[in-house]
Amino acid sequence: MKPTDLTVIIPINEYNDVVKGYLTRAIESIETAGHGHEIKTVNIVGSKEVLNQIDDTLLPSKAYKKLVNKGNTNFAAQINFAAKECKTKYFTILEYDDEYTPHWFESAAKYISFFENTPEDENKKTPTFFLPLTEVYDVNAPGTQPMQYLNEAYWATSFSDEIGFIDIESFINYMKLNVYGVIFSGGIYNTEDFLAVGGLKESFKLTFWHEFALRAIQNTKKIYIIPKIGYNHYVKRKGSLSEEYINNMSQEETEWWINLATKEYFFKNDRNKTYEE
Amino acid sequence: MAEKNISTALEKIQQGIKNIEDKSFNVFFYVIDSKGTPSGFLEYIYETALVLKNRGYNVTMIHSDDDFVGVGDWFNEDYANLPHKHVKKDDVQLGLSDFLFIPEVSHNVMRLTKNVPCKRIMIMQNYNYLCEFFPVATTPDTVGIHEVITTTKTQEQLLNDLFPDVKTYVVSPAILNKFRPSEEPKKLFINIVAKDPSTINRIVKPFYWRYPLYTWVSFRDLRSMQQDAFANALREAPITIWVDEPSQFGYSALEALRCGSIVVGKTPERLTDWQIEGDKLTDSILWFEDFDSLSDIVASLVRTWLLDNIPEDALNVISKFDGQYTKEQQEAEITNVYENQIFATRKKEFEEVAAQLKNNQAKTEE
Repeated sequence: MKPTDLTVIIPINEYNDVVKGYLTRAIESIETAGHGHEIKTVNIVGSKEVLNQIDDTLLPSKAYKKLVNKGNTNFAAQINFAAKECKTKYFTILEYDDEYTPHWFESAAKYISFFENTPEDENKKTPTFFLPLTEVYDVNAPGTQPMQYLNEAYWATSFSDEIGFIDIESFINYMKLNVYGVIFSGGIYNTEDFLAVGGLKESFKLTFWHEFALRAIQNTKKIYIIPKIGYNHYVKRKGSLSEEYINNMSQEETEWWINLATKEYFFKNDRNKTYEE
Repeated sequence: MAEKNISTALEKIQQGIKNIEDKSFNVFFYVIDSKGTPSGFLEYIYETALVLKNRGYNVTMIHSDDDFVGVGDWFNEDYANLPHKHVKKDDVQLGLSDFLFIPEVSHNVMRLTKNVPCKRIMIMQNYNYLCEFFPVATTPDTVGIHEVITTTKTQEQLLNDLFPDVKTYVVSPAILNKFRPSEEPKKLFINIVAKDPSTINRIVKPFYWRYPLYTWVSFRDLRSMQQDAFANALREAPITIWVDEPSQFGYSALEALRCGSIVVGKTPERLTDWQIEGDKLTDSILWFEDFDSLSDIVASLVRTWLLDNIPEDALNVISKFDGQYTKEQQEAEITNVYENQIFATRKKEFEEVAAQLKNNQAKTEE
């Protein structure tokens, strides 16, 4: 993977002083992680109203662009929109309140380039979606040790069919055990394959990434967890999507979305199923 | 009568000289059976044997095991295909111009062959084995061994101090070319190279107890692995923990370094040449003294590696050993020690004896 092959996508749905602080940190992490790798494009995607509030002085270079989304601006929709607009071979997603680790792009490039340059055979397809190991921090307790890791289970012995790779059975089992155990932000996605699989299903809550992952694997795409810490995910932020799910979504609804993911991944198109209590 | 005896002896000596000149003498290596378990100890002997065979010598591996398994299961077939003979069943004959190399663990063989006419030389790879297998008050001289080949200058010095009348040679081990880094980026495993199975528990369990956040980190026990699989495992993993306190050389540690693995090693009882730099331990290895400190070292190393914060020079430590312990260097040392010194000296001895015999013959005729 070359540096010009990657677009960073930052979906944003609100803006205030607090968000500005997070966004500043996120952008700094792009600059650090991209050092020597010259990320050519960073698309901050959101509605016109939100993007207009972002001062251009916050954006360090011409690589940073505001991508106005006139349609659905839920998280999944923002990603789909930005992916369709993506001009590079790969894109990565950075939540505005998270950050990349300093060497992530360099580390990822080594692994991705290796897979790109390894001839494919019928028994071993090349992965085209790559996730980082992620450290989880409490946003309210800065400077403390990570609370946990995410995506790490796939490096435990005998967890999945092939160590480092996600497979359907282990993923479904893990999703049912801990739906928050895997994170897809920070990951690097082959744009063409992402769109070919059909992108995220915008009607989904909670498990839109999980359903996508299952659908991707079902369509012979491979998802590899690069054994490097590439992403710091901050939790317990009031107003964040994950906090909303954790605090406001009932156990019943949570299970409903998990089960829906296990059924809907056979279908490319979003069938717009909704939860009813 | 005396004249006839001298003639017979002279004939034998001259035949011996001819055998050495045209390489028609036998080179025997006495080996114990590995029973299918990989052994650096045997690897060294077999590598020497193969080099000499390839240089045109009649090499035979001899043993006294009725159920001999050999090295085929874990070693390259070139070594397994060297001629092997059972000393009794295959009626091994040791002639005057032959050479018998005996490992330090086979004191009994040294004792039993004391009066055999061939040249006998001990190969000592591990001083601890010498202490273990030589009975009290027995020296190499007691069993008629006057020359010893060893693997390091450290051990050579030890031998010279203990047995000043024994002639010593050093032939270094070689780290095979298959031990080299891979193009493929590393996977997250931690290798453990340790002989004692209880060591695995002493490493793994406290690590998970102290660092529950890392219970997903996988350890791999490399005991009993076939050599190619062993090399592959060393290449794949970024970290290798090496515990072999009685080790006299540290093959696995060097092999791991050659494969680009960061080595965390327990300080051996006796340090060898490459482990000492000046008057301190080499910094090619992260040393630890006790198992209590190991978990912290490993956890710190794991996180540093996961964050890609390992300094570049720490990843390239093996460059310190460029040109050392290579196959080419070992072959040069084997040629020098075996051909240019041991075989050549034997020929010289024969020539001196022949000269003496001719002298005696002349006097007798007079």
